[in-house]
Amino acid sequence: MSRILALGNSHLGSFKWGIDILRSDGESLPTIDFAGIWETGFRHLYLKGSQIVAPDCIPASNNPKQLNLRKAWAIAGSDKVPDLSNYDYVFIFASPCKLAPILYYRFPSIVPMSESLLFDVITSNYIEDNQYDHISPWQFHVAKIIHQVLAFNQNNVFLIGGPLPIQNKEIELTEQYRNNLIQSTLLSNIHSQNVARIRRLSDSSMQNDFLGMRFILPPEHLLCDFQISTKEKFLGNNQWHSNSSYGVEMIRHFMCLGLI
Amino acid sequence: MASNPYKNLPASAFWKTGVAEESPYSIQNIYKKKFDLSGDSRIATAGSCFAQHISRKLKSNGYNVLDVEPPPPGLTNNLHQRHGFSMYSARYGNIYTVRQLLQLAQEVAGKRAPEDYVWEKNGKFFDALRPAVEPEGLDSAAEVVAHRHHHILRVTQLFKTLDVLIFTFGLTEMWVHRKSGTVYPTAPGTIAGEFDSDLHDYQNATFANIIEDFIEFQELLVSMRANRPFKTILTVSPVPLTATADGKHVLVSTTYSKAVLRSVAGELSTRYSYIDYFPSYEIVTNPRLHATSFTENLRSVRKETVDIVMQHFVQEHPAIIPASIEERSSSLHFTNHDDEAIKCEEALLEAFGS
Repeated sequence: MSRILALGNSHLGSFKWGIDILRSDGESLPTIDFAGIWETGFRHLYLKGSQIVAPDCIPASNNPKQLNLRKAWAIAGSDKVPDLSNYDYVFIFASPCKLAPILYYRFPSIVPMSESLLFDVITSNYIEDNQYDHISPWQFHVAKIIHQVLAFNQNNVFLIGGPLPIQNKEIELTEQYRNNLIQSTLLSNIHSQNVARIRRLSDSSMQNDFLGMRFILPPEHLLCDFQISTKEKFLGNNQWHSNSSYGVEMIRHFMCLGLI
Repeated sequence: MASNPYKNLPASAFWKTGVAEESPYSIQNIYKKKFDLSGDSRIATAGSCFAQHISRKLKSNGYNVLDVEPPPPGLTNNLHQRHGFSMYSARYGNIYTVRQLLQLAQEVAGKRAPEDYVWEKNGKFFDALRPAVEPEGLDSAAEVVAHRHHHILRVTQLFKTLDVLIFTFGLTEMWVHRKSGTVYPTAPGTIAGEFDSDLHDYQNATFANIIEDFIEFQELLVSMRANRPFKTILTVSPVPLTATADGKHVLVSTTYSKAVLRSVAGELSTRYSYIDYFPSYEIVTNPRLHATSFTENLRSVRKETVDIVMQHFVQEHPAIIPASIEERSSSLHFTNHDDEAIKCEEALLEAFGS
């Protein structure tokens, strides 16, 4: 049985709920270690040898309980920090999903992209700093620990990211993109072609090492028409977060892919 | 003592005091701007690869350098150039010749449709008019056409919006499609495509050709802009030719090319009040520097030399005050390319030309 670490920020929650639900339904699932911390802490994590550790600090912002990160960080139900050498696979539930338009398009434009350009964007694991801080400083960030974990053993790391924003809930970017796509057949065709290519790259990343990383996209039936948002029925506690049903569907997807 | 016309001229008018005894790092009076660049001036950059230096310096100094085809927000800075982003104000790659610039404007204006511009290599397809912006090519000829359509829409926006164009003359030699006259930035067969002497022709532009092309370009742009004028700053690339197809020694061809381009820049800037000439060419090729401006290949300009050139530019066009930068920060795209190399398709000749 594979040893799996599920690492993430607040988006790890729906995955954990999904696992719990499937187990209670009698599904046989492997043991998974969960290591999660809210985004403020997640972006401070770093790799020390093969251990993922948190610094001894109390972030001033977005930390209402004034938690010390070192004390807050551990594998769930344990007092140990995760050690990558103990795992066969690492699933990462943080940073935007690789279908997120904000990685590819400079709002509000939608542009045609070659496969090599999409490849370079995906493997950059990057978002221009602070670009969307006015919308949410927490949802548009790629933490350094993601780069470090990938560098440690990229072939056994699967980037999942957070869910796409919930349909009709995130109005400043996603719904504007939707309006553009609805109004222009040309743009919707361009976008569809880009999405098809991103999906092909995801499939390829699961089959061979040419991408230098592996990333998993949410299956189409969880998403709205243009694959820029998550269906409304999967709404979690706000427009950025999904619920347990989403977690269940994602785990079934992982099972279809033979990952768990 | 008898009077003579040189008697009261400044030190800069004499070779001894203006060059031989002058610091090449800070040459007095070598450039006096014709007009101001304000923080609100919408600046477009284009031209030969040396223009990328000016573009970067202006951006870092807070000028409103337009970028109508900015890079994807998820692409790291070090990969921008690989895909033709952040080099100029649009993703047109290097525009080495004025004829190429004119034809781009004609395409934007709907007065010309380029021919034979989709080149194939190893099953991938390239836009021959900007072959380096997609280094691995596209999947089909139709995709090249679609990408070009998008590009032209963006350049249309650029040409209609700009207040100032900064253009660097690069070459006089060019390869053209015989039937249509379509000018390519690179020789067929270098980056992609295949050279066919029945299809492709070599041309070396003359002073008169280039003057005529540039004036036609200006007039076309003004007409596209409902007669709204624009200003131009011209420079001449100091980078020598990698290779010549003129049958002469490359040093002779380089001198011809630079002499013609410099003359054209001089003529245009003398004739028109709205065209300025910035002497980057002279600053780099100043004999006082004993050719140390260049790297070991005697073509690429050293970063230190670029800094010297841009210091002269900045003396006349100083950095915009930070407050102005902040005001515009939401509409501008700043990148830090200090560590990056300038992209010069022409250099590919060295790899593919032998």
